[in-house]
Amino acid sequence: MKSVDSEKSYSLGKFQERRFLVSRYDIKKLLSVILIIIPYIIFNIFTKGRFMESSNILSILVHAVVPAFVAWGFCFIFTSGIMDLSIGAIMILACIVSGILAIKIGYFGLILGGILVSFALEYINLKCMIKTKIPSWVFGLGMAMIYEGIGALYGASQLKLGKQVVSLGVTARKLGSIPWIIIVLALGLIMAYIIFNRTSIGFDIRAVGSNREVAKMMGVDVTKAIIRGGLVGSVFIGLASAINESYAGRVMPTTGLNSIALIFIPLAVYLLAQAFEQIFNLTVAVIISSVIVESLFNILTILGVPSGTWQQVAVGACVIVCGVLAQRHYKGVVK
Amino acid sequence: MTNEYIFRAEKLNKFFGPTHANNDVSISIQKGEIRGLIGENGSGKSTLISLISGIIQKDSGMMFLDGEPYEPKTPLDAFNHKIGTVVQELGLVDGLPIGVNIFLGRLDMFNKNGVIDLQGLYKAASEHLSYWNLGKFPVQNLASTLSVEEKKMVELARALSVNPNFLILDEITTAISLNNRKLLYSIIEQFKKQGKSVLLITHDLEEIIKITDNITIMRDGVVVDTRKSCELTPDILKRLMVGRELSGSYYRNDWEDQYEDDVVLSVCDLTVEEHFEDVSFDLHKGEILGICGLSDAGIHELGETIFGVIKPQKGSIYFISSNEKIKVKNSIHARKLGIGYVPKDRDKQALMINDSVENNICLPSIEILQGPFGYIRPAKMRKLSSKVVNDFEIKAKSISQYIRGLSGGNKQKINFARWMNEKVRILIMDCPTRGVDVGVKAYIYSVMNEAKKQGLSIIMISDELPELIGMCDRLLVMKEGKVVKTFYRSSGFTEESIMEVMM
Amino acid sequence: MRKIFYVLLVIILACTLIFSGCGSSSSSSKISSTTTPPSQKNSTTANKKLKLGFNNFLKGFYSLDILEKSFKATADALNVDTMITNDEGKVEQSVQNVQNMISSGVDGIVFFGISDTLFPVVSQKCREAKIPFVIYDHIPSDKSMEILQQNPYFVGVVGEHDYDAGYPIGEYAANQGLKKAIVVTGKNTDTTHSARVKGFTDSFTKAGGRVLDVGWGNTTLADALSQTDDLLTAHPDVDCIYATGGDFGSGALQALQKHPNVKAKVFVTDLDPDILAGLKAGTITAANGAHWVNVDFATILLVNYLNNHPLRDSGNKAPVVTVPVLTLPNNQVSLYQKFWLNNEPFSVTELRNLTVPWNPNVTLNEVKSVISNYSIKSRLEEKQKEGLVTSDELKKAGIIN
Repeated sequence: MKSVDSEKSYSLGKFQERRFLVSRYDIKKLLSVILIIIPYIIFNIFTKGRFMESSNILSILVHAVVPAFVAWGFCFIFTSGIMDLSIGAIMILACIVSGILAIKIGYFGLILGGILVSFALEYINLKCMIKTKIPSWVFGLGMAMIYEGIGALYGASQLKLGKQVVSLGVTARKLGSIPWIIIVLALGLIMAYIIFNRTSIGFDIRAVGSNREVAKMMGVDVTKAIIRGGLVGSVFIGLASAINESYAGRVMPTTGLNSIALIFIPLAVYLLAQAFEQIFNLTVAVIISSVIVESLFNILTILGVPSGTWQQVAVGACVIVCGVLAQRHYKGVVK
Repeated sequence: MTNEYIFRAEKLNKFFGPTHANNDVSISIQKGEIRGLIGENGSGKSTLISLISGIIQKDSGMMFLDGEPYEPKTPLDAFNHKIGTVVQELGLVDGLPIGVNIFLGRLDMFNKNGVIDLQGLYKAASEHLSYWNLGKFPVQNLASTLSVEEKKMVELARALSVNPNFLILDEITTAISLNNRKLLYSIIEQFKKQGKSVLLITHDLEEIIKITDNITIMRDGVVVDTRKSCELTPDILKRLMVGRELSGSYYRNDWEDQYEDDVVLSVCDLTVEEHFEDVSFDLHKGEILGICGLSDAGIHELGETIFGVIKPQKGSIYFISSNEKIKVKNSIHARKLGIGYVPKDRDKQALMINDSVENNICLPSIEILQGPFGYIRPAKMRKLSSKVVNDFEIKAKSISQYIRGLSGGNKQKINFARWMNEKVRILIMDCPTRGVDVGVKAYIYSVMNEAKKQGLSIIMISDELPELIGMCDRLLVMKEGKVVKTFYRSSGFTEESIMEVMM
Repeated sequence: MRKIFYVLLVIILACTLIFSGCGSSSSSSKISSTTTPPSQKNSTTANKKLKLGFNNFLKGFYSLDILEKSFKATADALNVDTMITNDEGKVEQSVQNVQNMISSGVDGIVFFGISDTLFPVVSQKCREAKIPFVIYDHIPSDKSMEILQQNPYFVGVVGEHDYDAGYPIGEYAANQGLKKAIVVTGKNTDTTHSARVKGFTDSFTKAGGRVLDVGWGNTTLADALSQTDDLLTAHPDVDCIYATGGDFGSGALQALQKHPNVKAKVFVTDLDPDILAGLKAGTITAANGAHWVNVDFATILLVNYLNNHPLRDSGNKAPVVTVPVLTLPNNQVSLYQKFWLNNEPFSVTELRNLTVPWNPNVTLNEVKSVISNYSIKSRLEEKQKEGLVTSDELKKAGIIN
């Protein structure tokens, strides 16, 4: 290819070029990793090595899996500007169906049930949100109440029979246990990373989330992007439900929008990951954030900090500190 | 059979509610033609471009591309028909890498087994930028790291990436500095040589006459005339655009340094790493101080630093009032001292585009408006905003209309008027006439002149030399972050002499 | 297409509203709210069925849903209509629902108060509306009782002391020689769980044991699992785990399985199916609960009141009756499942025998006597009399020799 005009003075100046130095970014990333690791080492000394015992680290990783999967789901749903608050209620229904199918047909049913329910309900949500143009969070709240109601009806029907909601017992519990849960976590990370960063689905929803009008002008089909992203997100939510069912064995329905409580920790993970996005890729930041949040609960318990009170205070403070550190050089309005 | 026209539109109509934005618009553009499109803000230019580039759909009429009927449903349709567009207000997707922005909407061309080949994409983006000599961009970095001008260059690269036969450029030149403007002219020239066509929209009358073959003039949604550029002068164009004679010149008629001896602002050894260093100057009461330079000169960052948005690594800014010298700490402090700032990017840095005209006007005047316990009476807000709308002749349906629905010129009037209304003592204006038509330009200059007479001191930062020459008492020329020369109005300044220092 | 979509949406919403309207009450008949005291009103409308309001604090929560189930069964036995509301786990919703029930014309209210501060508020509302009410499950504090007793529409309280649910478990665990315990529980703002924790801690420490940590704030099984996991890492030397709720017990049990080096016994308050399974399998050492029959007797007090036969204590005050918390040995799990969960522990005849009009001379002492005799053994013996259980089954369960 031949250049139109080779005159050097037309290219951007030295200041702009200097601003793009890659090494500074890498140093920042390295420093961040060190900043995360140092407290781990300090805490480990405080707890006489108990904190970083391999079994405890594995245990933290296991606890981090479900919040991480849900937060990956958020990456695909919330990033495009859809604030769907019915995800907790969807998860409860997905867990129940997942459990019922797992008892009938094993692991295939466990995964299929979670994904199918999550996929179908999220599809209904997205279609209705787009068609009705109701603000997504309002619509999500309404749907959360409907889905919670369905769950409660199922719970009541079981109660009449002298039973509780489906409980896995010893069936299909390996997915929620070591080593499978860690393998699934790794597969989830690869899947989330590739779809979010290396497919048109990921780029389209990021474009829509960043600036819907510009994305539309650039040829992105906004509606299609939101639905495709949302459905990918729903697969992660479905997987999270299946893993949660396998991990806990039973998920009880609830009402009065209490299902939203189910997504509080994943939401904290997602928000923290967004803060870390300046340093790490969002999908990777999700794992880091999930492990940090779960580690905090773990270390505070080991240190004997009272749960429910001071643990909440400490975790809240740590999340804010992490956010501040991650946003330190960010100029602009924080969402 | 070959067709002499690359694009033809016949009796295009487009309505937005009761507004007839395009009324029986017919236009034909020949292959190899550089066509100018000009008109006041709200004349229907942007609507026509949006129709051609598939952003919106026509209500009636026909379009033909290379003789074939053409009805784009989406911008992607337009890309696929080899029509590249750079629109005025929209930019890039900040949250995506620069390289991805260039090919967004067409990422499937880098699809390998369902996964985007990012390395291939970045390589193609770099090659593309380098082919057109648009600058060295780290294509893997987010677009949010770019300045307004850099973004415009990437937008241009994006439009060129479809290998267009028909390139539409809407108000691109006002966002870019002289060096990049020259580059753009050469690209346009290249297009012409290749038998490709360009539709160029700009409010710079001299520029449009200079680089186009023909100019189509629009007014109130109608094409009023198409003339050969060589037969036109700025005055004829102005008359055709507004439908009447514009009396006198835009600018000041005097050639004196007309300001008082009192210094109101003193900038000492101001340094912001990577942007500028050791900048010092005094601003006098009633002075219009111009600042110009190429894209890497740091002029826009200097404006932000003086207002306290960017914290300098070295140096100080002093506000001087009744022999009292107060150090400006930050933008809030600057506001309290009576310093105002009209930024270059009005949609992102100045206005709340998803809020009403009323709220946007009242925002800087909250302290004046508020009563006991911070209560703001709605009646007071309505009165103030209605007065500003009337005084500054802002064309809005009502004070409750959202800013996003206004034309660029009216947005800028609000951006400007709200400071004028607050009666600030110093106003920093960064590209005050970017993307506004001649009518609004003339109006802004006249208000500046009037305010100057009343003692307002203005720092005018601009990429447009004619307006700096026309308005300033003194002109600081910056190069690579340093003030290299000061021109005085009384000594006379010419575009050539300034350019010589800048380049 | 869009029109069709909107029409469908409206139809769905309308159907949802209609069905939810039907679901909230077992009767479509409306009794107008009047200023006439209910006891007099019913004497003039003797053939009209009574309608009782009932608040479920959080539908979907097993230990609260079972109270609703038991209330419905008792209401059916006593031939009264019901209106059931869902407080959605919110205190303010409890008050709002009392108002809703009053507005919809219930004759009396069977009320669950999660917080002691609710009782005076609800009492005032019922007094203003002249609607009698009875309190179930949670026993108000002495201060609240003073206020309640001044209200002529206050019918009484039937509940249990949550402290008494935790206390015997602590004693039992200490008697087994256990010394170091952790507790897994709900939110520390929930009086039920905090009282159980206190009861357990008091008896366990009194007997020489030590509570190493209390895991507060759990709401789900998964929460309890993760938290117990952390607690076991922090205290690997623990030999006793007490869970104050069924889901917490299930979570604790699963977490314990992840720590094979920890040799601890698990104790639970709440007898839900999973806990029963744990008891049966021997993974849970002991569990107590089954106090949810309190709602049956609260309903009986209210129905008697509405039938002009208020049951008063010796001081002519509204009675406060305490239901014992039952400890379930693992050999009685199957029978518990059969007669408590799959059916009701009290038969229709037994319930009617404590209620006017079936027993016009019923006394408070008769009711108290049934309650004080409430035990696994007494209930199963009664079931044997009804021919629902065989002697062999009772022998197998250790009820009879």
